Amino acid sequence: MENSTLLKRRRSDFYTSISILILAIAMMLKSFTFPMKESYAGVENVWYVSPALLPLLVSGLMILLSLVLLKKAITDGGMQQAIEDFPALKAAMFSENFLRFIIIILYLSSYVYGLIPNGDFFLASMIFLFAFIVPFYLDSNNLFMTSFWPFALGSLAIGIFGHFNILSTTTIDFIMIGIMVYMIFFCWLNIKANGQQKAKWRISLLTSVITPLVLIPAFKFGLLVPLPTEGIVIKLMETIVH
Amino acid sequence: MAFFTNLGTFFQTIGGMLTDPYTVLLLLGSSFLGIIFGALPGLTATLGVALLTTLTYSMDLQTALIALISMYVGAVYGGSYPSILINIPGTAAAAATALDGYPMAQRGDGGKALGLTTTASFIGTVIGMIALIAFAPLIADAALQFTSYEFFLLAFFGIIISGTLTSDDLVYKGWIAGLLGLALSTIGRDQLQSYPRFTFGIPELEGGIEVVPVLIGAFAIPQIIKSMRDRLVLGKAQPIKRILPEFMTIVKNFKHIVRSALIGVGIGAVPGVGEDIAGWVSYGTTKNSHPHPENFGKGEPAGIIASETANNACIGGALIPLVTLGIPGSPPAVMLLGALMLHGLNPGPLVVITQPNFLYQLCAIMALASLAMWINGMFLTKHVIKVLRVPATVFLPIVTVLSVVGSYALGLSIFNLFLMVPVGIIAYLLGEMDYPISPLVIGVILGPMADENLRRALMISEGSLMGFIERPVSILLLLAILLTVCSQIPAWKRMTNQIKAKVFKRKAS
Amino acid sequence: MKRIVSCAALALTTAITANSIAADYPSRNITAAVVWGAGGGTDTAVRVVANEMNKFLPTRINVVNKTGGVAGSAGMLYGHSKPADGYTIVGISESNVTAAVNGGWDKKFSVWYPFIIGGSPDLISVTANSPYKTLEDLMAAAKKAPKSIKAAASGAGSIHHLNLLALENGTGAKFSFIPYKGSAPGQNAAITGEVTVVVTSLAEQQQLLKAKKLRPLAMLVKEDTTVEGVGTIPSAFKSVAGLDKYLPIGQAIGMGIRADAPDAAKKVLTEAFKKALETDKVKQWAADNFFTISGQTGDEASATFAGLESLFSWTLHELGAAKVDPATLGIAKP
Repeated sequence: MENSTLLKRRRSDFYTSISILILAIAMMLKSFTFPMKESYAGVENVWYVSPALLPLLVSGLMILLSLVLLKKAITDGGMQQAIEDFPALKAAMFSENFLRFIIIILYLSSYVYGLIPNGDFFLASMIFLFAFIVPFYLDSNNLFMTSFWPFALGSLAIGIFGHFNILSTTTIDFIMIGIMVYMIFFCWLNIKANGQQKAKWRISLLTSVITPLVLIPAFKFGLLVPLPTEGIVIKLMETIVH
Repeated sequence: MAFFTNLGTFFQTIGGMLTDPYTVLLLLGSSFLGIIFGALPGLTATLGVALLTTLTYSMDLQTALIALISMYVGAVYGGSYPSILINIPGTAAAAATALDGYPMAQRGDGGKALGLTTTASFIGTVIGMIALIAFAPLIADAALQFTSYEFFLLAFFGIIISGTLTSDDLVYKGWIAGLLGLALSTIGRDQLQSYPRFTFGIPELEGGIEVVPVLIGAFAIPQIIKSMRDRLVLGKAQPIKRILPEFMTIVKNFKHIVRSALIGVGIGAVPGVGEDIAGWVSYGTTKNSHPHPENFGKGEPAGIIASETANNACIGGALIPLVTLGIPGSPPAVMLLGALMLHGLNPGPLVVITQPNFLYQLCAIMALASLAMWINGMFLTKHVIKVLRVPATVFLPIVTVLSVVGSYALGLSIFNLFLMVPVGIIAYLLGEMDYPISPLVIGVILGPMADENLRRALMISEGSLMGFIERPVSILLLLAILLTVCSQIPAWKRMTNQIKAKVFKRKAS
Repeated sequence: MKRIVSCAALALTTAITANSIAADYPSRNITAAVVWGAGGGTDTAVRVVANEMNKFLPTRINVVNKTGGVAGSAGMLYGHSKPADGYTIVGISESNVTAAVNGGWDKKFSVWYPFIIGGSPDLISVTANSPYKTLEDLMAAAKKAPKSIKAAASGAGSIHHLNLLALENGTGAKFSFIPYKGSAPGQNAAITGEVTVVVTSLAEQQQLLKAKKLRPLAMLVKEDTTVEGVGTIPSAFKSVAGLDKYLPIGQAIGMGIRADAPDAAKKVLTEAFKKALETDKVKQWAADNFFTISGQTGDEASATFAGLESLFSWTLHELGAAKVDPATLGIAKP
């Protein structure tokens, strides 16, 4: 193994071993609050029946292993590296890689926490797919700006309004249609001059419509599984089927 | 004489099914659906059988069984597709397949890997079927010797072995991942006294953490993040030159196939333990007995063969206690039992008397289901490899939507989706720090079993630990665990090396 | 673009019209969410009956499983969060009545309009090679050395645990209670001899009795029961005087819709339910599984569940295992 990879690994081991140590200690402390001796639910309680037994065992082993890992990280120079790299930590936080990770998490969270619980699953999946595919597939910063913000902010608003029952599912569905129309229109404005981009844009649009169009009827009517939120589009499908 | 009559029933059933075009269509169709089901992340064999039970209710028993068994066999096999192609196991049973399958796909051998998987799964299913027909009562009796002691040790062994096998950095990082999984599994009401642990007042956590959102969060989300982040190419999609798999590879690994299949049957027959752990144990055993264990994890065909043979052989194993005693051996078999009861058949010791042909019909159906799986597999292999040509930036968003549906469908719970994202983020960060992820998932799967059985074992022995060393099976398991752990300790390694050196010296002189 | 707009317009109009014609129930498929796992006792019973009900309904009942929470609370919360239009049924059993005292949700069981399919009677059995041939043998041994004999039943506060407790109270014997996650693991433990005594339902035990892996001692209901290949299992009521004060505690597997659903829906479902229970398929299934059909609906069924709710909740409370005091929920003492 190259020395630099090893050092990098031991540096991250240094961080993780400390985090896991803290986690394990917290877990152990919490476990001590579980019933240890007193009878609970008609079961005679002694130390070996206690609900705390496995958590204590697991946290104990975790403390042991994280200490072994910490020792290894220190002897291999991981701690040294971590201290040396500490001033550069801020730079690492704003590295391209890390930013992309955050952005992808935002895409997933918007979809899962904002759209799915509150709006029609077809529409939610469609705008998620379009917003997620276009900037990455077409690899364009402009498109990222035009699609990510309406998607993320829209999802945030939908999440809040939906959670507190300010807006009905039907209203949210129309807002989602609005976001989709907005994204389609402004993305198209951005790329209409570029033939190659146009082909990719078309593929993105088709994918984001066809995927839910195949998936949802297959589950709803083929396998008879209800979907998270059934708004106007799924109700429409239901009316067509019956 | 009776044997020939039985064999007659077996072939009669096969003949009867093959001459009816509707049955053949149902067989191939259910098997195809099963493969798709297994291949979609989060959709498991259990859910597939459960959903198909509703759809096949109006059919007669034999027809319904054809659909259900084909679905079961197909779904267990189908989990290997995404394991190999995109490093996201479709089911927990196929997690061990990804270790060698994905490296093979990356170097352009994806077609070969899929071909091997197909044949290995086929052979595994058939060996499972033979075990079912030939040794059912014997194996059922042995499997029922498992008491709380053995269940605890088996669960612990499963976690240790997957931690040991998957660490490419320090081995205890794999164990830490396993322990993190165990820690997650203790969230919720405990199984024995229903005391709420680590629920932090969140009502949704009281029922505990479900496996499917953890499975998807831990495997699919890190892969989605990585591929989208780097705009990766999924793999090399080389045209497959031959449809039939390389029989030489199969012949060369015949020893591993037979051993893996036997492991699969044995683990399948133990109630409550299923395909997921069979794949790991078999992978570990094969790695340890292989002349080149260092090739494992780098695209060694024997690794794929080991896990895929075992998880399919598990099906026959799981049906053994089901047919003989009405005790299902694996989670999908639980649903299968429900389906049989819906159709007015109560599997159990009297089935031999009340429905003497049932066992042979079942085996005939299994034989055909595995054949249908093989045919479908050979056909699909050629096409499914083309997935690798789809740009990752288009394909992985689709995988995201599929993961969401898969995560939702089993429990119909939006909370599972909420759980999936943070698990995915933690799994991604751990992966970036070179921690393996599979032990975490195995820990969540086996955690409740370990917890419940450890405490109950001690409750029964009234706190004495002697129970663990008084029973033959538990001694074996205990030794296996100790050896696995010790073989990773440097001091132990030095010692065994010295002994080996001395022995060889003596031989030389 | 045009397509999306026209789709949306169409959807809006249908959504409005669909709401206005609730009278012709059912006009679309009904979802039955079973709160227990696929393949289990409640799941199987609900699937059998729902599939027979389909023959008397213009649309289908689709059975899905919605498990999790405490005592099936996740599935009940799901069913209760859907509109009270009769299109969502929950598949429930007697054990669900403890969801409230266990803190799974804050509602009494009267939020459901129940339909009870029935249940299988409980019995007490021992490991096949144990020395106890009759209930008297076992009770005598248990009284001689209290808490020396290990008895399995599924988790604390389950119906089988309550049956075991009632038997202990009625006979004065004391066992060492070992909880298991569900009936099947408890029965397996009795086969291996890990525990000696097991209390589960006849439906769950019948195959093991036939295989001579377990020896039945007594039924925990008033009637003797004859099982083909096993013989007649005597009722515990005969050998233990005064047991009728504590037993029987019967299973109640069934379905429910929200109590505030429209009467039209209740009427349609009740009719279909009653007809379904009369079909040969259900009768045959019940006979094969030693399942006693109840057929209670509406007020009658609500009364049964209210009784079970009171018994279960207060028993759990006395055991110190209830998270919420049943009195604060307004559950009367039994």
